[in-house]
Amino acid sequence: MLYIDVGNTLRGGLRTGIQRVVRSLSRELAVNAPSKTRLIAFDVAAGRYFALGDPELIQSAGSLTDIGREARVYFDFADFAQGDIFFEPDSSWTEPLNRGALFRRLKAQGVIVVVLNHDAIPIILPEVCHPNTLVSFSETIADHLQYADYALATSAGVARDLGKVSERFLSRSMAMRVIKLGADFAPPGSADEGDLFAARFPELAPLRFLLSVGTIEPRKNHALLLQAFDRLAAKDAGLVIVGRKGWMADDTLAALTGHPDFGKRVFWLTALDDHALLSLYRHAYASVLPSQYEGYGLPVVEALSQGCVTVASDAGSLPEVAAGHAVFFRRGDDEALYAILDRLYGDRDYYARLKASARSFSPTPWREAGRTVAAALADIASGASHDFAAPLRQMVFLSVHAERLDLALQSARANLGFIDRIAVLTTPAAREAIAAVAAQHFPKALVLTDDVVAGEKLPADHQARNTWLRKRLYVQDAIEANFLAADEDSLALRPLTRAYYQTDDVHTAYSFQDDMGTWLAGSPTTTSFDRGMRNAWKLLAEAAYPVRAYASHMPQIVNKSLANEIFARFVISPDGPAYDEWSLYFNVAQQLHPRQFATKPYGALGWPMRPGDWLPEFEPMQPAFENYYPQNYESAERGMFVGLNPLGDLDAKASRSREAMAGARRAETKGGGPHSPGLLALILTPEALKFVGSGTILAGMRNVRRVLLVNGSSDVTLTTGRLDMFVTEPRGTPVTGESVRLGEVCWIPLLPPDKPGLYAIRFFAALDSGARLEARGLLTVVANGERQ
Amino acid sequence: MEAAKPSALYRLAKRLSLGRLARYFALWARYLLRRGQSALSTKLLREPPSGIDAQAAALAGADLASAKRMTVASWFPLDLANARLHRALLASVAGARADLKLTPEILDCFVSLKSADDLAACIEGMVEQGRSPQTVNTALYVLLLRRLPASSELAMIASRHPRHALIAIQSGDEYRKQGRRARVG
Repeated sequence: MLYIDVGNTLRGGLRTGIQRVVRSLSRELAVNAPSKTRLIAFDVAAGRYFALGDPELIQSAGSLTDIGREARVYFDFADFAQGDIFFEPDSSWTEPLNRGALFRRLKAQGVIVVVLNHDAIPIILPEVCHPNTLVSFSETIADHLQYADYALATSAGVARDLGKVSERFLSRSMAMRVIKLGADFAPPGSADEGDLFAARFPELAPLRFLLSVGTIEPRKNHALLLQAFDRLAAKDAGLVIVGRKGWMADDTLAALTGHPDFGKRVFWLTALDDHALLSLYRHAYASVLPSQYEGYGLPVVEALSQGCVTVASDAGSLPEVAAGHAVFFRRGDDEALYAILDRLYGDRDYYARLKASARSFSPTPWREAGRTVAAALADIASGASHDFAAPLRQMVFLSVHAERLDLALQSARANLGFIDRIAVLTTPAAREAIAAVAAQHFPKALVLTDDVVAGEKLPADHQARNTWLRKRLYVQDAIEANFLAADEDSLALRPLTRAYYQTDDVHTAYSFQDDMGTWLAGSPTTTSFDRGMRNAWKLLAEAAYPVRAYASHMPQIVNKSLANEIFARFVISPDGPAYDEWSLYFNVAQQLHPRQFATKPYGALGWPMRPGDWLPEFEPMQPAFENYYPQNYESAERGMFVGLNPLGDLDAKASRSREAMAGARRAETKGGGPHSPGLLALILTPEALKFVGSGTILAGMRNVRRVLLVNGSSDVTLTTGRLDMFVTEPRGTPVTGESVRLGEVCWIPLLPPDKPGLYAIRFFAALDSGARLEARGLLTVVANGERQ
Repeated sequence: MEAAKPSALYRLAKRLSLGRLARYFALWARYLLRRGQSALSTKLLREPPSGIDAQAAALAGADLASAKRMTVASWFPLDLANARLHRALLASVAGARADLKLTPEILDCFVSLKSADDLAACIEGMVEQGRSPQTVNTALYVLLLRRLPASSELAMIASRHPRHALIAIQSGDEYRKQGRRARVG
């Protein structure tokens, strides 16, 4: 279902500018697909949305008060469903319903939020805006930047401006599509406009008048036009300004209404209906739009569509929308404007050429504009352009170690029969060795190097570099519509068919954790991977996307065009921040195309390398891959897979992994017998520490426990410093201890004593504020009856 | 390629568990140092801050996943992002429009209000911190321009007079026109 929020247009009751666009566009969209489109408005008093019973009301009704109870179909918020589109084409910054709260709620229900941006004027030209508009628009554009899944822009210029604003303030881009607005506003029955003009505007009949349409406000720059007009020599020149009084307009209106020829040659008209406006366009000598900025410039398109000679400033999108059919002067240049106008009145050939140019302008009918926007929205909803059904047959690697790639390719050849081609991205230094290995297993392997693919200086951070490289790699022509993205240490351990990843147009992703917000990261240091996870989590959560963890260390299916769209939006600089690109891709992709994605528990052994490094929320179900760590095969490292074949022994590896994970769980989450693991946590505030400890601890250094560090202050900077933790015997002898830098880690590893008994745990904090704090508690360490 | 053999000195050190001994002595030294420093300078709070007990109770009653979520969120709060973005945009606008008199202090107040769970409590806190009424009122006005107040907040808002905030005085016409004034005052 497509929901179009037209509430603001109906609340204001206007028919000009944005409101004209909203009325025309939404009507076309509703007519285009009546059973799948609802025009909706929020009823503040009822606290609910309602749909217009008849979509034609958007044109026929003046305002909300014209829409009676019987024409309103109220519905509940819960009726917005996953995969629906909420389209906001209106000037919603004056809507009473806060957009941030609305968008968050919609996205939590799986609704795709699409906004139509008309301009970013309050941000890029604040000096011409009303104070309240500055404040309220700032919030709405913040909500658009942060939450909108897609933005439609009324011109390429608007898209450019918004892109710049987004990159400047949010360090990311928007998924933008440029649309064309319509211009055929001629109302039915306008054939008699000749009579209408004579009847309504008899005082204009003897004049060759300039027409300027737009609200009286500083941005429209009417003062400049008035100035140029006063210098014209033509005695029959007239000036008609059509538009309501806006903001900061007193000076302009004083000059206008105080003009000596006001009411004779100079006129200010307001509240005209479409018939009258059409009539003016058709009888005007020329139309002039001297604006300081326009996101679109509807009056230019409307004037040209009526064959009216059009003069406009070169500001914003005006040259773009006029498409060479108007004449332009430099923004704010009064001499240039005067010169053009003077020539218009004095040079008949010049005027005739401009007239012919205006008459050759071919406006986009609203019907066509509606169809174009409907197609864009349908594509957003269906994802048809992404070609999810293209067969999966290519595997794409990042690799610098030829011997590891060799193992991975051997395993792919043996077990991934649906893969018949590969692409490998490597460094120039490793290229030769990588190419040799790749060609050995896939004769037509494509090997690319990062200096060619990326070009720019690559980030030093491992995660940031990989994300940036994948972004650059995935846009290459050689990458197919759907492919299997892998690392060099991904070993396939059993035969799989394409259905493991792709069934028709549905892609299966593999996740190891439901909530990235529970990722504690390493201790005593956080790794590049940890930071990538955390950054991705914050980015996704703050943009109201799901936050599952997908960096499952196994190959995953990726759709090329969707990945490119997502990375273009969120990864805009090689300098970071670093993101876990797998989670970024799949969470956004699933939100946008829920029918095209399924998620299953991951199937990689060896991840985590040592069970207990972190506890996955679920075990690898039906493992099919191994994340290859050489340490896992080394006796000195007490590796989990010592004595086993890296390319085989799936059952033995699965069995050892399960056993090791069960041991880790036994220590920390699932007790038995006298052991009942509870929570260990330390709360830090600028003034105090408090230890929260419950349950028992299994004896033995391998039964590592996490002591969670909780920041009890709303200001992180108040709780930075150093923390020491000691476990002591009852008589005070320390048996183990750790030291961490506060603010960098979320937990301290506690290696339990070997002997059962009652121990004390003591914490000493030296905060950067100078405060020294202490806390203590008791630990009951019980014997470990299980084999470790 | 044959791996290099460890030196005799290394083998002796390993036999004597010198590394383990060194770590043990370091543990003792660190422990004694911290205990000594603590005895000299640690603030002993007979009554720890009240919030800490509530947090401890919440943690104690939570499952591991929830406790982990609380832990991560305590260091990496999420809810300020939108408010901070709005603040950055407002600050940019305010830089070009000095007549708005949106000072950094007002914008900081605004971010606090926007991200507050309890608006009334947040304002009380600001008043206790000595923020000027003009600052608080203008920040509140900026907030209410885009957020309808809950009915429980109306009395508090009426007592703050946000409509007399500087920015409202300059621009009340459009605000009234939008038809939301009645809900506020």
